Amino acid sequence: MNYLKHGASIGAVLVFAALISVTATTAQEAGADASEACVPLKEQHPDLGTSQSISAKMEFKTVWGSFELPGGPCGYASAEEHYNALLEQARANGGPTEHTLETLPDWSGSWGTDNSTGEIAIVGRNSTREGMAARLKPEAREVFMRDSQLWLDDHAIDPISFCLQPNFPRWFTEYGYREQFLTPERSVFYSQMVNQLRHIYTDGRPHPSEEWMNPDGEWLGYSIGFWDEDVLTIWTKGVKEGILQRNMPRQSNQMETIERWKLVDMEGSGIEPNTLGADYDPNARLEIELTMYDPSFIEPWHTVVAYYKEVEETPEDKEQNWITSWDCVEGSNWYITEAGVISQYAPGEKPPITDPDYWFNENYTHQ
Amino acid sequence: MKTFTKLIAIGAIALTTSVAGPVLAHHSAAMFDDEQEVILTGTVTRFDYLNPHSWLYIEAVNEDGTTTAWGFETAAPTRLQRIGVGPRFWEPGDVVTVKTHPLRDGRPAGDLVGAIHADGTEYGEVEGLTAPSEDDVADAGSTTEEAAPDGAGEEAELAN
Repeated sequence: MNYLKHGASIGAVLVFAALISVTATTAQEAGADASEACVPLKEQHPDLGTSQSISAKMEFKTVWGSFELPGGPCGYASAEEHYNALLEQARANGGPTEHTLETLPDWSGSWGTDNSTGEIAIVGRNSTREGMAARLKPEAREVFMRDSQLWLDDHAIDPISFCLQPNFPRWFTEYGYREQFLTPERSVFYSQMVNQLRHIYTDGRPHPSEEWMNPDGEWLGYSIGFWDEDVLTIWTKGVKEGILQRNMPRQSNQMETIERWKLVDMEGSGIEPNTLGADYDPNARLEIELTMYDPSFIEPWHTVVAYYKEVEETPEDKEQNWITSWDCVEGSNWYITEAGVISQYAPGEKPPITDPDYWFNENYTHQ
Repeated sequence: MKTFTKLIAIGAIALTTSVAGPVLAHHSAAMFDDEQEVILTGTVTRFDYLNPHSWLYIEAVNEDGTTTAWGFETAAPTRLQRIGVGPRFWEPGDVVTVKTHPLRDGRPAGDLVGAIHADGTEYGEVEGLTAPSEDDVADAGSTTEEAAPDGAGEEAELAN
């Protein structure tokens, strides 16, 4: 086992994990009804993270979203409870809103990831390891600290390196263009990396029954939602096991999430986004409150994500922002040798898989 | 003619990515030796503008006059297009000087740290690079023999 080779360094991080486990109180396990007895993680670990979150590496700015955990000090007991509370709130206001094509908000155009918004970011760089570990129940914490050390020692593989899809909610964090196609009955959200499309049904249907939900999960799960005026609420379940991001904790296929999407007014916000060099419209920002529920978490993990609309005013903008299909295999020269060495093909080493002459060969045999 | 109007932006991105690594967000960069910088001058043979990574291929001239085919990994089009680098930014026949962190095992490939065209157009982090000279451009078309890939890393000009 590789784990044995790294026993010393892993042992050191496990000491930290053990220290956390002595004081951890499991709010999600106890449920919201026990919130009087729960001790929020922010109170348990006042020295970790920031005022917004114990796992945040920095303070983040938001126009509309809140970094406060929804549902009280220790949150809702489940995504279902969270969703139903928001649905009741919408009903109390006369909703959910039944939009027409004419009344739906305008989220059109190409959008880019803002990496300065919340903790779930590319390569997990917005979160501290200690803070993330403190969010996890003891068994998951031990796994994460071991995984993390293997990341740091270059003994781990990011699953997307195999050209697998980013799982959900990692979908939020990947780079590339994004588009939102809204209709009254469903919304389709596109992320350019490996051409991922999320379908969010807003026609009032429930999630699929157990008979029709893949027991192994789907890459982007199954999403339903409703509109409350110009806020779209989404409940997603039935996801695959995965990692939140590189060097971030694993998630189970029992993870469920609640999202609230809204186009915000940036006037006077003073927010400087980080969109990795993109030309963006500083007045067009989608903010998403994301709350993750997983059996491995001590309490729900809540953060805010944002995207910016790309500027497409000039002919040059329109040329450069052209969205094309994302084939992962063709441009991936990454491979693992039989000895376990992770390397790259040098010129001439990779089979010419896109050359039609390579597809037809009398020496090939299908057996 | 190359159009490249966002050199400041790309420099900033190169700085950011050298810390956080999102240019190589599809996979770890551990196979590249970031302690070593190799500077090469050669002729572009192909530029693959592909996801998840684009690749620049050149034929570099070795000291003994032979040439070696090198490949350099860089960012996906979705990132390159945002900083003004299109699919014809490098074209076959262009003479370029590039800086790379090579593969640890010596095969002629690496990640693309920076590059300069003969006309001075820059890409990425170009500290220590100078544009190919007229002699480089003239020499680039005069050698055709290819060296064995195994020795390529040793024959390349090393910096630092």
